[in-house]
Amino acid sequence: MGNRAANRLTGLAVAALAAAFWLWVIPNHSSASDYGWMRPRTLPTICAVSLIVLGLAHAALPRGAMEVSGREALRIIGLGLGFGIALWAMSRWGFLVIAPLGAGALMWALGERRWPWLVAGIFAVPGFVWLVVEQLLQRPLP
Amino acid sequence: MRLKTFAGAALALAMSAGAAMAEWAPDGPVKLWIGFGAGGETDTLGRLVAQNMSEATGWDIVVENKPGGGGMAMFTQLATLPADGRTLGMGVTMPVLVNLTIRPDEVPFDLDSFDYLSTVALAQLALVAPANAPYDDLAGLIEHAKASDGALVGFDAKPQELLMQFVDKQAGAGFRLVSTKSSAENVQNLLGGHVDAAFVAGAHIPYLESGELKMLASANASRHSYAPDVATVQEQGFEIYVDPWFYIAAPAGLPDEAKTALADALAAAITADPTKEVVMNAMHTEPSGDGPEATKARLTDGLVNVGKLFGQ
Amino acid sequence: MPPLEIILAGFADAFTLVNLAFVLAGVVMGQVVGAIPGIGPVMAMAIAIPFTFVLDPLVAISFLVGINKGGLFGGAIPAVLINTPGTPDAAATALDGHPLAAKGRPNQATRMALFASVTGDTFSDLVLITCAAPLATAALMMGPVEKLALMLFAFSVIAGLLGDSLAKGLMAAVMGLLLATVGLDPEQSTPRFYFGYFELYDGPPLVAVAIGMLAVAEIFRRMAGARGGPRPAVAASTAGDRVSWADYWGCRWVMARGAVIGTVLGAIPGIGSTAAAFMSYASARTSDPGGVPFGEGNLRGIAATESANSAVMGANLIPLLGIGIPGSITAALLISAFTIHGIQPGPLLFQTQGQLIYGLFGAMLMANLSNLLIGLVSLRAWTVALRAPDSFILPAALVFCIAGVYVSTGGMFGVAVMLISALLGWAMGAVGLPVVAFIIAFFLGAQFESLLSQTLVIVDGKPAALMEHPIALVLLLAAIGTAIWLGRR
Repeated sequence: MGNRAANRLTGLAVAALAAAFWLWVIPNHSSASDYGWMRPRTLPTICAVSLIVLGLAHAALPRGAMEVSGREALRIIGLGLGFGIALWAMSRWGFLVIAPLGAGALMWALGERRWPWLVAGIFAVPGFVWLVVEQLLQRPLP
Repeated sequence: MRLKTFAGAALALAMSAGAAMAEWAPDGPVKLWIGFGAGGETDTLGRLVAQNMSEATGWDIVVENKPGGGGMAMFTQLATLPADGRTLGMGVTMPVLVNLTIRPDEVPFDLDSFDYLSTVALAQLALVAPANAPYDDLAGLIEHAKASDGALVGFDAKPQELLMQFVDKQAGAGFRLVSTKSSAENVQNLLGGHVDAAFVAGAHIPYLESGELKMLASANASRHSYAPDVATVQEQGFEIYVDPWFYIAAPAGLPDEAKTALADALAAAITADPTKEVVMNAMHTEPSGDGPEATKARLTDGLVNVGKLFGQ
Repeated sequence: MPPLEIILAGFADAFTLVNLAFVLAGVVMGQVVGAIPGIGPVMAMAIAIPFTFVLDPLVAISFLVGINKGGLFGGAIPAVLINTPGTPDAAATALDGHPLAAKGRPNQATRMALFASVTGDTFSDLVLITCAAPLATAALMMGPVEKLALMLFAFSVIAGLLGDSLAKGLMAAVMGLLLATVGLDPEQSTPRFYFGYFELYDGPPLVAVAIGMLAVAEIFRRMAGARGGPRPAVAASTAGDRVSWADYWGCRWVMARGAVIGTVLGAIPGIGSTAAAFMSYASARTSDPGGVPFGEGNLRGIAATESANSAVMGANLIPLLGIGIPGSITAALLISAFTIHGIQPGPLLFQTQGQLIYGLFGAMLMANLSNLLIGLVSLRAWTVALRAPDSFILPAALVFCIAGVYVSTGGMFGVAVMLISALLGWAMGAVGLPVVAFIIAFFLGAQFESLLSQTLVIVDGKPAALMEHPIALVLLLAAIGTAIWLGRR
């Protein structure tokens, strides 16, 4: 996909999302009010309408750099999913179990095979965080 | 020096409270959730109460901050927990009562979702004006507003706005209400002469002493300890007041002995000397430490009053 | 101003070994937590306050001041070295700091940040010490109308940073503003766009959004781009990797301007250090780059941002000490430290607690010197530590981000917001929407809406009423002038 086409698509996507926000989210998730200068919906509506105008303008006159790579996008989405699962697991089994597992899995995936680094990443870093936060600062971790 | 007085107070507390605690003890650490972020007055106060309580009872008390919606996020979570006395929540009545009044369907709990253990303090809310203003009470402010095409009044919470609208409706004054985010912002606007009057919860007291501000009315149901001569809004002819109480609650259904033990320990910690000093300094009011019955009454009466504020 | 003997007694109280020890400890702790994404100086101070119950008032306050100053500079370290700013104001430092470090000059970049930070900080401390009371009174003239005009002026200066496409820059900024409308609206306190999450009543947690978009997005990007085995996280040092006197002297004007911008914005309650850092950076960019283009590792870019965001902090205490109003969260935290020790902050603070205040000033100056000396030593350690492979640094940084955001937002909700912000930040970066514009608008958005609401009530919707606010008029004209001037360049 060319730079111009990708830029046009971005502009259209922003305009479409803003339109959805204007027509659906604002009426359903904020309250109407009949007094005052800045009502709850004033600024969100201004923002949504400007985004529609800007998105369409950008689609008409695409400018600027793009660095979209499908490969990178897939990896990021994978990372995001993994992170989400790790967060869910952490709220269930706790920081002290999941943080070392997660850190270890990430290090392995990044190609780290030297055991001193692995030990440091899996045990020392979460252990240090736990010591500082739970013991020294007396704030809870998940 | 300080360390000594602190330890001494804790020791005295331990001896006086020790006997009452023997019947019930939590089987593990007790969490005290604070409905506000780290570093605020509520946070400081909660941590101090926890520390006193822990020293007096020997229980392990862990303080956690659960900010969001003036305590709404914290109470929503608290209502779902088992009633084992292992998690307590500290918040303030107004945001809870306002939400229960205007959007009861969206709030996943009601007043019966909790057992109330103790009040902590009553926030003393005052209507304040610059010292050189040509009015000294609410009636004067209303006259001023009528004479000069409206008066600007700053507020930082919904109930204050409602109170002022109530007064405005009854007196036809034409107030223009300026919404701010904190007492500090209101003091700043008062000192800079950007508003004609504003609500302040305590931060104005030093300025009363320095003669830069003056107090027009107490917005509470009672007069303030530091200004016994200033009448309440009610006494000045408007049947309305705002009483924000800080209080501590637990999920409903606590066993009676646990409720008593927790309430006694909290009351002792709240009225202890070191807490008193911080409450006086940070919130400019006396710590209260009322028991479960009185605390519950504060909430139920408060709900009726907030309903009145909203004209329901 | 109190009599000379009180001033001298105050300074004498400050310059004791016990105090020095606590200032040093505070600075070390501050630099470490500042460097950890998500914690930062504010959180560190909030955590430390209960521990100061048992200390003498001056020692307690010196300790907190040390944490604050150390933390301010600490945030720049990861921003420069691995492009993961720990705080939003450090995001501006990363713009030129990271490219310079990546070119093999990590020491030059971090040291320039240190020197500029200490310079800006000392400047604003001296302003605070010599003229807090008159400045605070002057700052009171800035009411809601004037502050709104000032914010519009700041926006017009920062607009110069919007990037290569005006439409994209504005889109990012408007999206940030829209996100800032989540939560209770400022005028009537009705909830907006909270989807049943009461955590969103106060808006999305700022720390979680900033760390997600700035730090976690960069960590993800680096992880996704990693191939062919581990590499050191920071480029090795090459020749000329130091700050010479000529380098420092060459930045004198941008540092001076940054210090003034930071001091002015800091003295006015409620604007904040992020705006100051970006305003100073934007105004430095309009000057002669002198060799290296901005955004590719220009020392002046680093000097401008660090001197401005550090200058904000000293100046934040001007309204606190001058008239008793906290101008920022940091100042509010100092107030709670004061009150715990039975000291009533307020307009009479100088009269009643003169000796303590001058002790605080002494501690601030001591903390600046400590920051410089400890920074010189610790930077060496940091650049060595970050020479560890990125396969170690990136997962470790992620663990720190999770723990930091969990602690400062009080639960998993904040961490989830951080993850969503990271994905959004990456997507915006990929299609060329400037994340920095988004973040600035998001950070200032809530304040902007609130000021706009207050202004409309005060002028009662009549533009003619602006004639009663001459300062605001001047600022508005300056904003328009700047916009036209920048538009023609």
